[in-house]
Amino acid sequence: MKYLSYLKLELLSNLQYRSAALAGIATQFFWGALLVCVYTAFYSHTSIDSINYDQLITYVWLNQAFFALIYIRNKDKDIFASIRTGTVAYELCRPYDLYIWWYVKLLSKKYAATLLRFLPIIVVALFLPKPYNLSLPISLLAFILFLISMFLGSLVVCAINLIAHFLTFFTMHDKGIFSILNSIAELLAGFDLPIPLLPTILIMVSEYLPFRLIGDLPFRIYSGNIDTLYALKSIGLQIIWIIVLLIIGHLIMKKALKKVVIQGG
Amino acid sequence: MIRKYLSIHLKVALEYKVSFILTILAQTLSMFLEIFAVEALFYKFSLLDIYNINQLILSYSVVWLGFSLSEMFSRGFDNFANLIINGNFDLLLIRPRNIFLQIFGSDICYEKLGRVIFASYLVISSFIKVVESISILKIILLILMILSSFILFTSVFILCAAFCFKTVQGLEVINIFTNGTRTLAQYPMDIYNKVIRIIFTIVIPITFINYYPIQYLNNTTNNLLYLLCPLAIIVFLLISVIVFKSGIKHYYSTGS
Repeated sequence: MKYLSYLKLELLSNLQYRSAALAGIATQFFWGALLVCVYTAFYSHTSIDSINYDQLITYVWLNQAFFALIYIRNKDKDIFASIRTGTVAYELCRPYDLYIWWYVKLLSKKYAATLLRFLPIIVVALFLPKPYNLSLPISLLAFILFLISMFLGSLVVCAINLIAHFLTFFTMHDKGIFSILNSIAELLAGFDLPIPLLPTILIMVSEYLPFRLIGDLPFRIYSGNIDTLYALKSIGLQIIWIIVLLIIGHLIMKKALKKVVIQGG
Repeated sequence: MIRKYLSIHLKVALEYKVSFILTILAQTLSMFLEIFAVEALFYKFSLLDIYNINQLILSYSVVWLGFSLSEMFSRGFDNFANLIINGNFDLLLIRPRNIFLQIFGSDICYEKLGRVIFASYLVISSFIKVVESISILKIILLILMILSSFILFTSVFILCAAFCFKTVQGLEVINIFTNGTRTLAQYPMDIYNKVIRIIFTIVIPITFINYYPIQYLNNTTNNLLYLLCPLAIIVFLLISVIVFKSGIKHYYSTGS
Protein backbone atom coordinates (compact mmCIF):
# COMPACT_ATOMS: atom_id res chain seq x y z
CA MET A 1 0.00 0.00 0.00
CA LYS A 2 1.42 3.37 -1.00
CA TYR A 3 -0.07 5.13 2.05
CA LEU A 4 1.52 2.63 4.42
CA SER A 5 4.94 3.05 2.87
CA TYR A 6 4.53 6.82 3.07
CA LEU A 7 3.67 6.38 6.76
CA LYS A 8 6.85 4.37 7.27
CA LEU A 9 8.96 6.90 5.39
CA GLU A 10 7.65 9.89 7.32
CA LEU A 11 7.94 7.98 10.57
CA LEU A 12 11.61 7.26 9.95
CA SER A 13 12.43 10.83 9.04
CA ASN A 14 10.56 12.20 12.05
CA LEU A 15 12.39 9.86 14.38
CA GLN A 16 15.50 11.98 13.74
CA TYR A 17 14.39 14.77 16.05
CA ARG A 18 15.86 13.29 19.21
CA SER A 19 17.13 16.38 21.02
CA ALA A 20 13.72 18.00 20.66
CA ALA A 21 12.27 14.88 22.25
CA LEU A 22 14.64 15.14 25.19
CA ALA A 23 13.43 18.68 25.89
CA GLY A 24 9.87 17.45 25.51
CA ILE A 25 10.39 14.68 28.04
CA ALA A 26 11.82 17.08 30.61
CA THR A 27 8.97 19.54 30.10
CA GLN A 28 6.31 16.86 30.36
CA PHE A 29 7.88 15.36 33.43
CA PHE A 30 8.12 18.64 35.32
CA TRP A 31 4.65 19.59 34.29
CA GLY A 32 3.32 16.29 35.58
CA ALA A 33 5.09 16.80 38.90
CA LEU A 34 3.57 20.26 39.13
CA LEU A 35 0.05 18.98 38.52
CA VAL A 36 0.57 16.22 41.08
CA CYS A 37 1.46 18.94 43.61
CA VAL A 38 -1.71 20.87 42.87
CA TYR A 39 -4.05 17.88 42.94
CA THR A 40 -2.42 16.47 46.07
CA ALA A 41 -3.13 19.79 47.74
CA PHE A 42 -6.80 19.60 46.78
CA TYR A 43 -7.25 15.97 47.80
CA SER A 44 -5.67 16.67 51.19
CA HIS A 45 -8.75 18.76 52.00
CA THR A 46 -11.57 16.64 50.64
CA SER A 47 -12.13 13.90 48.11
CA ILE A 48 -14.79 13.66 45.41
CA ASP A 49 -16.76 10.72 44.04
CA SER A 50 -16.27 11.19 40.28
CA ILE A 51 -12.58 10.23 40.40
CA ASN A 52 -10.33 9.16 43.27
CA TYR A 53 -6.82 10.32 44.04
CA ASP A 54 -4.90 7.32 42.62
CA GLN A 55 -6.94 7.36 39.41
CA LEU A 56 -6.31 11.08 38.98
CA ILE A 57 -2.55 10.81 39.52
CA THR A 58 -2.43 7.95 37.03
CA TYR A 59 -4.43 10.13 34.64
CA VAL A 60 -1.90 12.95 35.02
CA TRP A 61 1.11 10.75 34.23
CA LEU A 62 -0.54 9.04 31.26
CA ASN A 63 -1.56 12.45 30.00
CA GLN A 64 2.06 13.64 30.18
CA ALA A 65 3.49 10.45 28.67
CA PHE A 66 1.16 10.48 25.67
CA PHE A 67 1.01 14.24 25.35
CA ALA A 68 2.51 14.23 21.86
CA LEU A 69 -0.12 11.73 20.73
CA ILE A 70 -3.19 13.60 21.98
CA TYR A 71 -1.94 17.13 21.31
CA ILE A 72 -4.65 18.98 19.37
CA ARG A 73 -2.81 22.22 18.69
CA ASN A 74 -0.40 20.57 16.25
CA LYS A 75 0.25 22.83 13.28
CA ASP A 76 1.75 21.38 10.14
CA LYS A 77 3.88 23.97 8.38
CA ASP A 78 4.07 22.00 5.14
CA ILE A 79 0.31 21.84 4.69
CA PHE A 80 -0.07 25.55 5.34
CA ALA A 81 2.84 26.36 3.07
CA SER A 82 1.63 24.18 0.20
CA ILE A 83 -1.62 26.15 0.16
CA ARG A 84 0.01 29.55 0.47
CA THR A 85 2.76 29.03 -2.06
CA GLY A 86 0.64 27.04 -4.51
CA THR A 87 2.65 23.82 -4.50
CA VAL A 88 -0.68 22.16 -3.74
CA ALA A 89 -1.15 22.24 -7.52
CA TYR A 90 1.55 19.59 -7.91
CA GLU A 91 0.11 17.55 -5.08
CA LEU A 92 -3.25 17.54 -6.83
CA CYS A 93 -1.69 16.12 -9.98
CA ARG A 94 -0.27 13.11 -8.19
CA PRO A 95 -2.07 9.80 -8.26
CA TYR A 96 -3.20 9.67 -4.68
CA ASP A 97 -5.97 11.00 -2.48
CA LEU A 98 -4.62 14.23 -1.02
CA TYR A 99 -6.79 13.94 2.06
CA ILE A 100 -5.44 10.55 3.05
CA TRP A 101 -1.94 11.71 2.17
CA TRP A 102 -2.09 14.64 4.61
CA TYR A 103 -3.84 12.54 7.20
CA VAL A 104 -1.05 9.97 7.11
CA LYS A 105 1.48 12.77 7.31
CA LEU A 106 -0.05 14.12 10.55
CA LEU A 107 -0.40 10.64 11.95
CA SER A 108 3.21 9.64 11.33
CA LYS A 109 4.49 12.83 12.89
CA LYS A 110 2.45 12.07 15.99
CA TYR A 111 3.59 8.46 16.23
CA ALA A 112 7.24 9.39 15.84
CA ALA A 113 7.01 12.10 18.50
CA THR A 114 5.22 9.75 20.87
CA LEU A 115 7.60 6.83 20.33
CA LEU A 116 10.51 9.07 21.26
CA ARG A 117 8.87 10.43 24.39
CA PHE A 118 6.49 8.13 26.19
CA LEU A 119 8.72 5.37 27.56
CA PRO A 120 11.04 7.39 29.86
CA ILE A 121 8.09 9.23 31.40
CA ILE A 122 6.16 6.01 32.00
CA VAL A 123 9.15 4.26 33.56
CA VAL A 124 10.06 7.13 35.89
CA ALA A 125 6.42 7.70 36.86
CA LEU A 126 5.97 4.00 37.69
CA PHE A 127 8.85 4.07 40.15
CA LEU A 128 8.00 7.29 41.94
CA PRO A 129 7.29 7.01 45.69
CA LYS A 130 3.96 5.52 46.56
CA PRO A 131 1.04 7.94 46.41
CA TYR A 132 2.59 10.09 43.64
CA ASN A 133 3.25 7.30 41.16
CA LEU A 134 1.63 5.93 38.04
CA SER A 135 -0.37 2.84 39.03
CA LEU A 136 -0.44 -0.33 36.99
CA PRO A 137 -3.57 -0.88 34.86
CA ILE A 138 -6.55 -2.09 36.86
CA SER A 139 -6.77 -5.37 34.91
CA LEU A 140 -5.39 -7.02 31.80
CA LEU A 141 -8.69 -6.42 30.01
CA ALA A 142 -8.59 -2.74 30.94
CA PHE A 143 -5.06 -2.54 29.59
CA ILE A 144 -6.05 -4.08 26.25
CA LEU A 145 -9.04 -1.77 25.97
CA PHE A 146 -6.75 1.14 26.86
CA LEU A 147 -4.41 0.27 23.99
CA ILE A 148 -7.28 -0.03 21.52
CA SER A 149 -8.93 3.23 22.54
CA MET A 150 -5.57 5.04 22.64
CA PHE A 151 -4.96 3.99 19.02
CA LEU A 152 -8.47 5.02 17.98
CA GLY A 153 -7.98 8.26 19.92
CA SER A 154 -4.97 9.09 17.76
CA LEU A 155 -7.13 8.60 14.66
CA VAL A 156 -9.76 10.94 16.13
CA VAL A 157 -7.29 13.69 16.98
CA CYS A 158 -5.69 13.65 13.52
CA ALA A 159 -9.09 13.91 11.84
CA ILE A 160 -9.97 16.90 14.05
CA ASN A 161 -6.56 18.42 13.52
CA LEU A 162 -6.88 18.20 9.74
CA ILE A 163 -10.33 19.85 9.84
CA ALA A 164 -8.86 22.69 11.90
CA HIS A 165 -6.17 23.12 9.23
CA PHE A 166 -8.80 23.34 6.46
CA LEU A 167 -10.96 25.81 8.38
CA THR A 168 -8.07 28.22 8.50
CA PHE A 169 -7.80 28.20 4.71
CA PHE A 170 -11.11 30.01 4.55
CA THR A 171 -10.03 32.75 6.92
CA MET A 172 -6.36 33.17 6.03
CA HIS A 173 -5.78 34.71 9.51
CA ASP A 174 -4.76 31.34 10.74
CA LYS A 175 -3.21 32.22 14.10
CA GLY A 176 -6.26 33.59 15.87
CA ILE A 177 -9.02 31.26 14.63
CA PHE A 178 -6.86 28.16 14.93
CA SER A 179 -6.04 29.01 18.51
CA ILE A 180 -9.62 29.88 19.54
CA LEU A 181 -11.01 26.64 18.10
CA ASN A 182 -8.29 24.62 19.77
CA SER A 183 -8.75 26.27 23.15
CA ILE A 184 -12.39 25.23 23.21
CA ALA A 185 -11.57 21.75 21.96
CA GLU A 186 -8.90 21.37 24.64
CA LEU A 187 -11.31 22.32 27.39
CA LEU A 188 -13.81 19.68 26.24
CA ALA A 189 -11.04 17.13 25.73
CA GLY A 190 -9.99 17.35 29.37
CA PHE A 191 -6.65 19.10 28.78
CA ASP A 192 -7.26 21.95 31.20
CA LEU A 193 -8.86 19.71 33.78
CA PRO A 194 -9.62 15.97 33.55
CA ILE A 195 -13.26 15.65 32.48
CA PRO A 196 -14.48 14.25 35.83
CA LEU A 197 -13.30 17.47 37.48
CA LEU A 198 -15.23 19.78 35.15
CA PRO A 199 -18.57 21.31 36.18
CA THR A 200 -21.52 19.00 35.50
CA ILE A 201 -22.86 21.00 32.55
CA LEU A 202 -19.55 20.79 30.73
CA ILE A 203 -19.32 17.07 31.38
CA MET A 204 -22.70 16.71 29.67
CA VAL A 205 -21.64 18.86 26.72
CA SER A 206 -18.43 16.87 26.33
CA GLU A 207 -20.43 13.61 26.10
CA TYR A 208 -21.90 14.78 22.79
CA LEU A 209 -18.61 15.82 21.23
CA PRO A 210 -15.64 13.79 20.01
CA PHE A 211 -12.93 15.63 21.96
CA ARG A 212 -13.09 13.55 25.13
CA LEU A 213 -12.50 10.42 23.01
CA ILE A 214 -8.93 11.51 22.29
CA GLY A 215 -7.16 11.08 25.62
CA ASP A 216 -9.66 11.29 28.43
CA LEU A 217 -11.36 8.00 27.53
CA PRO A 218 -8.26 5.76 27.32
CA PHE A 219 -6.73 7.21 30.50
CA ARG A 220 -9.87 6.58 32.47
CA ILE A 221 -10.22 3.04 31.09
CA TYR A 222 -6.65 2.33 32.22
CA SER A 223 -7.24 3.43 35.80
CA GLY A 224 -10.64 1.76 36.11
CA ASN A 225 -12.51 5.04 36.41
CA ILE A 226 -14.73 3.76 33.57
CA ASP A 227 -16.19 0.24 33.77
CA THR A 228 -15.81 -2.34 31.00
CA LEU A 229 -19.30 -2.02 29.53
CA TYR A 230 -19.10 1.76 29.24
CA ALA A 231 -15.60 1.42 27.84
CA LEU A 232 -16.79 -0.92 25.08
CA LYS A 233 -19.64 1.42 24.21
CA SER A 234 -17.27 4.38 24.05
CA ILE A 235 -14.88 2.50 21.78
CA GLY A 236 -17.80 1.94 19.42
CA LEU A 237 -18.50 5.64 19.61
CA GLN A 238 -14.88 6.35 18.72
CA ILE A 239 -15.20 4.32 15.52
CA ILE A 240 -18.41 6.12 14.53
CA TRP A 241 -16.84 9.52 15.21
CA ILE A 242 -13.74 8.66 13.17
CA ILE A 243 -15.92 7.85 10.15
CA VAL A 244 -18.02 10.99 10.61
CA LEU A 245 -14.98 13.24 11.05
CA LEU A 246 -13.23 11.76 8.04
CA ILE A 247 -16.28 12.42 5.86
CA ILE A 248 -16.66 15.99 7.16
CA GLY A 249 -12.97 16.62 6.64
CA HIS A 250 -13.11 15.30 3.10
CA LEU A 251 -16.07 17.55 2.24
CA ILE A 252 -14.43 20.64 3.74
CA MET A 253 -11.23 19.94 1.88
CA LYS A 254 -13.07 19.71 -1.43
CA LYS A 255 -14.71 23.04 -0.72
CA ALA A 256 -11.46 24.63 0.40
CA LEU A 257 -9.61 23.45 -2.67
CA LYS A 258 -12.29 24.80 -4.97
CA LYS A 259 -11.46 28.22 -3.59
CA VAL A 260 -7.79 27.80 -4.27
CA VAL A 261 -6.76 29.71 -7.32
CA ILE A 262 -3.49 28.43 -8.61
CA GLN A 263 -1.51 31.38 -9.80
CA GLY A 264 0.37 30.81 -13.06
CA GLY A 265 4.11 30.26 -13.11
CA MET B 1 13.18 56.82 23.46
CA ILE B 2 10.77 54.61 25.40
CA ARG B 3 7.85 56.35 23.73
CA LYS B 4 9.42 55.75 20.33
CA TYR B 5 9.76 52.02 21.04
CA LEU B 6 6.11 51.88 22.15
CA SER B 7 4.74 53.61 19.08
CA ILE B 8 6.84 51.68 16.57
CA HIS B 9 5.71 48.32 17.91
CA LEU B 10 2.10 49.48 18.01
CA LYS B 11 2.31 50.44 14.34
CA VAL B 12 3.69 47.03 13.48
CA ALA B 13 0.88 45.31 15.37
CA LEU B 14 -1.83 47.38 13.70
CA GLU B 15 -0.53 46.59 10.23
CA TYR B 16 -2.67 43.42 10.23
CA LYS B 17 -5.79 44.52 12.06
CA VAL B 18 -8.08 41.49 11.86
CA SER B 19 -5.28 39.12 12.69
CA PHE B 20 -4.24 41.34 15.59
CA ILE B 21 -7.74 41.42 17.08
CA LEU B 22 -8.25 37.68 16.64
CA THR B 23 -4.96 36.98 18.36
CA ILE B 24 -5.94 39.23 21.27
CA LEU B 25 -9.21 37.33 21.56
CA ALA B 26 -7.47 33.96 21.43
CA GLN B 27 -4.95 34.99 24.09
CA THR B 28 -7.65 36.29 26.39
CA LEU B 29 -9.71 33.15 25.92
CA SER B 30 -6.83 30.88 26.85
CA MET B 31 -6.24 32.91 30.01
CA PHE B 32 -9.94 32.84 30.82
CA LEU B 33 -10.00 29.05 30.50
CA GLU B 34 -7.05 28.64 32.85
CA ILE B 35 -8.74 30.82 35.45
CA PHE B 36 -11.93 28.90 34.86
CA ALA B 37 -10.10 25.66 35.63
CA VAL B 38 -8.93 27.06 38.96
CA GLU B 39 -12.44 28.12 39.92
CA ALA B 40 -13.89 24.80 38.75
CA LEU B 41 -11.48 22.90 40.99
CA PHE B 42 -12.47 24.95 44.02
CA TYR B 43 -16.10 24.47 43.17
CA LYS B 44 -15.75 20.71 42.58
CA PHE B 45 -13.94 20.14 45.87
CA SER B 46 -16.44 22.44 47.61
CA LEU B 47 -13.63 24.49 49.08
CA LEU B 48 -15.38 27.77 48.48
CA ASP B 49 -16.80 27.69 52.00
CA ILE B 50 -13.27 27.66 53.38
CA TYR B 51 -11.73 30.04 50.91
CA ASN B 52 -13.21 33.44 50.33
CA ILE B 53 -13.94 33.62 46.61
CA ASN B 54 -12.96 37.28 46.29
CA GLN B 55 -9.63 36.69 47.95
CA LEU B 56 -9.07 33.79 45.62
CA ILE B 57 -9.82 35.96 42.58
CA LEU B 58 -7.63 38.78 43.85
CA SER B 59 -4.74 36.45 44.50
CA TYR B 60 -4.68 34.84 41.04
CA SER B 61 -5.59 37.97 39.11
CA VAL B 62 -2.63 39.83 40.62
CA VAL B 63 -0.45 36.99 39.37
CA TRP B 64 -2.04 37.09 35.92
CA LEU B 65 -1.84 40.87 35.63
CA GLY B 66 1.84 40.87 36.51
CA PHE B 67 2.46 37.96 34.17
CA SER B 68 0.65 39.53 31.21
CA LEU B 69 2.38 42.87 31.75
CA SER B 70 5.70 41.05 31.71
CA GLU B 71 4.73 39.15 28.58
CA MET B 72 3.82 42.44 26.93
CA PHE B 73 6.76 44.62 27.93
CA SER B 74 9.49 42.10 28.69
CA ARG B 75 9.00 40.14 25.51
CA GLY B 76 12.61 40.85 24.55
CA PHE B 77 13.79 38.70 27.45
CA ASP B 78 11.11 36.10 26.90
CA ASN B 79 12.34 35.59 23.33
CA PHE B 80 15.94 36.31 24.15
CA ALA B 81 17.21 33.20 22.36
CA ASN B 82 16.14 34.72 19.04
CA LEU B 83 18.18 37.85 19.69
CA ILE B 84 21.26 35.72 20.27
CA ILE B 85 20.69 33.25 17.44
CA ASN B 86 20.26 35.81 14.71
CA GLY B 87 23.11 37.91 16.06
CA ASN B 88 21.04 40.99 16.81
CA PHE B 89 22.29 40.99 20.36
CA ASP B 90 25.74 42.01 19.10
CA LEU B 91 24.09 44.98 17.46
CA LEU B 92 22.53 46.05 20.76
CA LEU B 93 25.84 45.69 22.58
CA ILE B 94 27.68 48.17 20.38
CA ARG B 95 25.05 50.88 20.78
CA PRO B 96 25.81 53.47 23.47
CA ARG B 97 22.58 52.91 25.37
CA ASN B 98 21.56 50.85 28.37
CA ILE B 99 21.45 47.21 27.33
CA PHE B 100 18.38 46.38 29.43
CA LEU B 101 16.40 49.25 27.96
CA GLN B 102 17.30 48.08 24.47
CA ILE B 103 16.23 44.51 25.12
CA PHE B 104 12.95 45.76 26.55
CA GLY B 105 12.52 47.85 23.42
CA SER B 106 13.40 45.06 21.00
CA ASP B 107 9.86 43.74 21.14
CA ILE B 108 6.61 44.83 22.74
CA CYS B 109 3.80 42.37 22.43
CA TYR B 110 0.53 44.26 22.16
CA GLU B 111 -1.31 40.99 21.59
CA LYS B 112 -1.36 40.59 25.37
CA LEU B 113 -3.48 43.73 25.77
CA GLY B 114 -6.69 41.73 26.17
CA ARG B 115 -5.19 39.74 29.01
CA VAL B 116 -3.97 42.89 30.74
CA ILE B 117 -7.38 44.55 30.53
CA PHE B 118 -9.27 41.48 31.70
CA ALA B 119 -6.87 40.85 34.58
CA SER B 120 -7.04 44.53 35.60
CA TYR B 121 -10.79 44.33 35.72
CA LEU B 122 -10.62 41.23 37.96
CA VAL B 123 -8.04 42.83 40.23
CA ILE B 124 -10.03 46.01 40.76
CA SER B 125 -13.44 44.39 41.19
CA SER B 126 -12.19 41.78 43.66
CA PHE B 127 -10.08 44.35 45.50
CA ILE B 128 -13.17 46.42 46.22
CA LYS B 129 -14.92 43.38 47.65
CA VAL B 130 -11.99 42.15 49.73
CA VAL B 131 -11.31 45.43 51.52
CA GLU B 132 -14.34 46.53 53.44
CA SER B 133 -13.17 50.09 53.72
CA ILE B 134 -10.85 51.57 51.14
CA SER B 135 -7.93 53.53 52.52
CA ILE B 136 -5.02 55.22 50.80
CA LEU B 137 -2.63 52.72 52.35
CA LYS B 138 -4.56 49.82 50.88
CA ILE B 139 -4.60 51.36 47.41
CA ILE B 140 -0.87 51.94 47.63
CA LEU B 141 -0.44 48.32 48.70
CA LEU B 142 -2.48 47.12 45.72
CA ILE B 143 -0.34 49.14 43.33
CA LEU B 144 2.76 47.74 45.00
CA MET B 145 1.37 44.22 44.61
CA ILE B 146 0.78 44.67 40.88
CA LEU B 147 4.17 46.28 40.38
CA SER B 148 5.96 43.56 42.30
CA SER B 149 4.11 40.84 40.40
CA PHE B 150 5.27 42.48 37.17
CA ILE B 151 8.83 42.76 38.46
CA LEU B 152 8.80 39.17 39.67
CA PHE B 153 7.84 37.67 36.33
CA THR B 154 10.19 39.99 34.46
CA SER B 155 12.96 38.81 36.78
CA VAL B 156 12.11 35.20 35.96
CA PHE B 157 12.26 36.09 32.26
CA ILE B 158 15.65 37.76 32.78
CA LEU B 159 16.97 34.70 34.63
CA CYS B 160 15.77 32.42 31.85
CA ALA B 161 17.32 34.74 29.27
CA ALA B 162 20.63 34.47 31.12
CA PHE B 163 20.49 30.71 30.49
CA CYS B 164 20.56 31.40 26.76
CA PHE B 165 24.13 32.68 27.04
CA LYS B 166 25.10 29.13 27.93
CA THR B 167 22.77 27.17 25.68
CA VAL B 168 22.55 29.58 22.71
CA GLN B 169 19.33 27.93 21.62
CA GLY B 170 16.04 28.60 23.31
CA LEU B 171 15.05 25.66 25.44
CA GLU B 172 11.47 24.54 25.73
CA VAL B 173 12.28 23.36 29.24
CA ILE B 174 12.75 26.92 30.42
CA ASN B 175 9.08 27.63 29.79
CA ILE B 176 8.35 25.45 32.79
CA PHE B 177 9.97 28.06 34.97
CA THR B 178 7.72 30.87 33.79
CA ASN B 179 4.50 29.01 33.11
CA GLY B 180 5.00 26.69 36.06
CA THR B 181 5.49 29.58 38.46
CA ARG B 182 2.35 31.18 37.12
CA THR B 183 0.29 28.00 37.35
CA LEU B 184 1.32 27.19 40.90
CA ALA B 185 0.96 30.79 42.02
CA GLN B 186 -2.65 30.88 40.86
CA TYR B 187 -3.71 28.85 43.88
CA PRO B 188 -3.75 30.35 47.37
CA MET B 189 -0.53 29.39 49.09
CA ASP B 190 -2.16 27.78 52.11
CA ILE B 191 -3.51 24.84 50.13
CA TYR B 192 0.04 23.59 49.58
CA ASN B 193 2.19 21.66 52.01
CA LYS B 194 5.12 23.25 53.81
CA VAL B 195 7.82 22.37 51.28
CA ILE B 196 6.16 24.14 48.39
CA ARG B 197 5.26 27.08 50.57
CA ILE B 198 8.87 27.50 51.62
CA ILE B 199 10.04 27.31 47.99
CA PHE B 200 7.58 30.04 47.12
CA THR B 201 8.77 32.26 49.91
CA ILE B 202 12.51 31.86 49.65
CA VAL B 203 13.44 30.66 46.16
CA ILE B 204 10.78 32.39 44.07
CA PRO B 205 9.17 34.94 46.38
CA ILE B 206 5.61 34.53 45.15
CA THR B 207 4.01 34.70 48.59
CA PHE B 208 5.14 38.30 48.93
CA ILE B 209 3.10 39.51 45.97
CA ASN B 210 -0.29 38.12 46.96
CA TYR B 211 -0.50 35.87 50.01
CA TYR B 212 0.94 38.16 52.69
CA PRO B 213 -0.36 41.49 51.33
CA ILE B 214 -3.89 40.11 51.15
CA GLN B 215 -3.70 39.37 54.88
CA TYR B 216 -3.38 43.11 55.36
CA LEU B 217 -6.07 44.00 52.85
CA ASN B 218 -8.72 41.84 54.49
CA ASN B 219 -7.87 43.20 57.97
CA THR B 220 -6.50 39.88 59.25
CA THR B 221 -3.52 41.85 60.44
CA ASN B 222 -2.74 45.49 61.07
CA ASN B 223 0.99 45.06 61.14
CA LEU B 224 2.43 47.73 58.84
CA LEU B 225 5.34 45.42 58.05
CA TYR B 226 3.04 43.57 55.65
CA LEU B 227 2.94 46.73 53.55
CA LEU B 228 6.62 46.31 52.79
CA CYS B 229 6.27 42.72 51.57
CA PRO B 230 6.14 43.47 47.86
CA LEU B 231 9.45 45.26 48.17
CA ALA B 232 11.13 41.92 48.86
CA ILE B 233 10.84 41.32 45.12
CA ILE B 234 13.50 43.96 44.52
CA VAL B 235 16.07 41.55 45.95
CA PHE B 236 14.98 38.91 43.46
CA LEU B 237 15.25 41.43 40.62
CA LEU B 238 18.76 42.44 41.71
CA ILE B 239 19.89 38.81 41.75
CA SER B 240 18.56 38.14 38.28
CA VAL B 241 20.13 41.33 36.91
CA ILE B 242 23.50 40.34 38.39
CA VAL B 243 23.23 36.86 36.87
CA PHE B 244 22.35 38.36 33.50
CA LYS B 245 25.25 40.85 33.65
CA SER B 246 27.72 38.12 34.42
CA GLY B 247 26.24 36.25 31.48
CA ILE B 248 27.05 39.18 29.19
CA LYS B 249 30.65 39.19 30.43
CA HIS B 250 31.13 35.61 29.32
CA TYR B 251 29.24 36.08 26.10
CA TYR B 252 30.84 35.06 22.83
CA SER B 253 28.95 36.03 19.76
CA THR B 254 27.42 33.27 17.64
CA GLY B 255 29.31 34.99 14.83
CA SER B 256 28.45 34.69 11.19
